Amino acid sequence: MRHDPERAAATYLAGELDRRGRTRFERHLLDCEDCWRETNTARTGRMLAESLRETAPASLRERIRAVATLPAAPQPRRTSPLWWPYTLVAAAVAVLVLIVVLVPDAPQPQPVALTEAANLYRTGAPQQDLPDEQPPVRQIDDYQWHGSAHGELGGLPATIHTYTAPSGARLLVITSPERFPRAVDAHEIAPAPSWTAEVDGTVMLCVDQPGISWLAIAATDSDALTAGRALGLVT
Amino acid sequence: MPVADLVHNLARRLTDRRADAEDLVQETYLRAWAAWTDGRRPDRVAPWLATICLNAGRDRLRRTATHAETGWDETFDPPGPADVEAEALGRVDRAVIDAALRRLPDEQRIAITLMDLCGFTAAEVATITGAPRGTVLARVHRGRKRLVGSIREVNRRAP
Repeated sequence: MRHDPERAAATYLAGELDRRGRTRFERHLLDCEDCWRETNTARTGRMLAESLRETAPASLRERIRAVATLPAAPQPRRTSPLWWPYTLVAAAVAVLVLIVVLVPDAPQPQPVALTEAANLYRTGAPQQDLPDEQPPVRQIDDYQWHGSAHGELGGLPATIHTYTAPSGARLLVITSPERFPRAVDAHEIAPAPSWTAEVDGTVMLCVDQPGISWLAIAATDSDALTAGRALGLVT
Repeated sequence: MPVADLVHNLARRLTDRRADAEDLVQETYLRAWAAWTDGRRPDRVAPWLATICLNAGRDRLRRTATHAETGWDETFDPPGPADVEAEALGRVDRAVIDAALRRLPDEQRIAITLMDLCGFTAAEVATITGAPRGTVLARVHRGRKRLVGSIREVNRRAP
């Protein structure tokens, strides 16, 4: 097969390689300047683009909530000078219909603690200087411990340990003295009560033990399971 | 990512002003309602709304005619230097990154927005945009490189 650094790096960064392919490519990266440059540059580009993520402003959410209580009206003509008021009314109907009718078909929202954890995974957890904080393990397969931080996830106290691989891939191990909420559509795994689930594009593995709840977050099922095994949580 | 945030992020990259983005979000929900009353019921809400938002955004561009569509740029000049000053690039102002993203060819900008800002997979972006998955990956990859090249150029010119 022809050596194509651009295609290889794009596939790798899209997370479309299986574990074996990923390991093979990461080894190749250390020996191929072209692939290294392609991967490194595109990864930086991804980081730049991700830094632009923002939440919908409160004003927009409020506007949607407010118009949801207005009565129904005919669909407005877009060319009318009174387009905007009619749009508000029509939007009310749209929102109402989407909420009342469409939502049952939509995925149930995940608990806030988990969506916040997934967001941390995507954007990178803040790192704090915690001299007394030791990670549960220093290495998980290719992932090395990068740092730890204390914080809250949906009101739950949490300690977040970040691990990174040479590829730039990230893995989070989060502990809390309180139980993490169960994800929507979670699958039971042994030992109970433990589960895995896909949450906002991440794979989560959660294990509850007496006095501590563990949450591992990775990009793939296999990496989440590897973390669970490295931590001695699952077999 | 909540669906409203997702649509908002997409709308922000399809319009030049915040107010226009909010109008586009609202128009997206209007069209969704119209489609719903026509009996169209998506399996998943997020890709469906993203598709509607994308189409509505393109319609707005055509209506205003103030935006010169650049189309898909197949001839990309990769950035020159091999090493990327990731740390320095990480400190770049968001406004500079936003401007650089807006300068990308439309198809690259949309693909990057859908993958990196909205969190869709390449397969989902392929469904939303109607482009083959390999093309999506190429657009995202080249767009990311171009974005880095653009920011690097800004840094180089900075006093």
